[in-house]
Amino acid sequence: MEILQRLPVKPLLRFKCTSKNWYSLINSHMLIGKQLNYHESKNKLKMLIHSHDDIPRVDIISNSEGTPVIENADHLSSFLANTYLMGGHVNGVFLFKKACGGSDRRMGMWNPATRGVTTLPDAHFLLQPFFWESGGFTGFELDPFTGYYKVIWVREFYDDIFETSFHRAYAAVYSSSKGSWRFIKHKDHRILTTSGYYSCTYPDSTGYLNGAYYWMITWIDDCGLLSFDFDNEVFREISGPDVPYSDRRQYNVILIDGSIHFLIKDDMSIDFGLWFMIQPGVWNKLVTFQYFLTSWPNLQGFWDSNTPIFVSELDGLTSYDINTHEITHLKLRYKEYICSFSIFSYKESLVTIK
Amino acid sequence: MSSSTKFLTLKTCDDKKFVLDEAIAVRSQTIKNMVEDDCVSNVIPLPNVNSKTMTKVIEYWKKHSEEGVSKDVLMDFDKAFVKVHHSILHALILAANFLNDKEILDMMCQEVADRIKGKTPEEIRKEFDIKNDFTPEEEEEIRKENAWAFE
Repeated sequence: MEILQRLPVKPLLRFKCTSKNWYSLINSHMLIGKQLNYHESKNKLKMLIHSHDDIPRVDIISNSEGTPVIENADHLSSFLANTYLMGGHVNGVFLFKKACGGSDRRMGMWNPATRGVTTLPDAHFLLQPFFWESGGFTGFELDPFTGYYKVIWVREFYDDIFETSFHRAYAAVYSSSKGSWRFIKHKDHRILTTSGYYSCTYPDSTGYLNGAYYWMITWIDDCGLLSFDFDNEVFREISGPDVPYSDRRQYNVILIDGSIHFLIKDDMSIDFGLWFMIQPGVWNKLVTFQYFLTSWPNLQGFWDSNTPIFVSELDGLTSYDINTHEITHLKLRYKEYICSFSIFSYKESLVTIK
Repeated sequence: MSSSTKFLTLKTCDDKKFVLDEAIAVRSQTIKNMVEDDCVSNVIPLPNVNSKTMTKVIEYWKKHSEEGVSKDVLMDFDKAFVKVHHSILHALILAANFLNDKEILDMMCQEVADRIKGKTPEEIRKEFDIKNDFTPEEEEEIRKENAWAFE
């Protein structure tokens, strides 16, 4: 057990046929949990890069050997084709959905480490005929031991007069143990109590933590979080750090070491402020750091709490050590298309999706 | 060495005795607990560890307790330390487990994981002396499920 938890998923799948004993050991809840914890505690993260170009492809970068290594993941590209979008990940499992538009709105779950895939049945929303779909977002939770999951899907609409100061949305939650969708009713189809224009960043700045899924929301004059608790299936609004909102600032919400962080950068400076949520709505500024390689880097994730990963048009993908100011270039073969990527840092898991 | 230095005597299963500075021996959580609980008489018996393995463990403890050793030196030492025959490696894991030394256990388990991660199931059976109790049909079925992992 001590040894097996240190192995990547691929050899573990191979070793299943060693003996009956090994087979049940590798399929056991205990190993699945231990392996997840181990890879989390050692920051053995991987980054999945999904490119939406004409030739869709997936690359996986691993930092487990100390220096980042790009793994050949061409075999995974065929699964994705270019019809799927990734909608976040929990415990090494990704939620994917058919690209916007078209009547096929299928969603599914995918574990790139075990190559396991499952799809969800369609949700039949009873929509008001005069509503126009404007967007939406999703989130999910996944029990690594049982493999059961819950998906929350929010669809946003304009009403018939394109009134944008009101937010109208429909929400439904799918439970794989029940095998069905439940539609969540809200008065006037409003999930947020705050009126005014807002946007939910997707799929960046979202994440799952301790039974709830979080999305970053920005209003005209504020920023914060929307959360969905999977236990009692209710939404909640949480205010962000006390920094006056400006559309000239760059905002990110990121999960690091099991807590929620806000990363805020001013347009005119190279200063980043990293805020940490002590409890819902209570924030503490953790660190201010400068990243000066390019003027407009996009945060893509963290290797660990001291090492953010940025992407920019000029420099491609770089990781930055806040303490030593050391910049590492993660060499990609297709730097010129940097804008059409989705990048996710995740941990490999043995989880079987049910 | 200060006059207050206390020595412990450890006795392995093959009746060899090792006299060791207490400050070094308490790297083992098991020994530390015994010392703290005051149940140390003259000799601490280590019924699960042989002298050959204990020599290796003490070599590691002494190196890592030396003052003023640079990180690089220790890293080189560790690298060389794990380069042993797999029978010694397995004995060291069992010893580290019994002595409850997380550092050695962690390092050794990682070494085994690194050694086996590229191996086939056949090689694993040979390395760990495991009997294949699957029927050929059963084995084929499991192999098919994860065929890509054998590429």
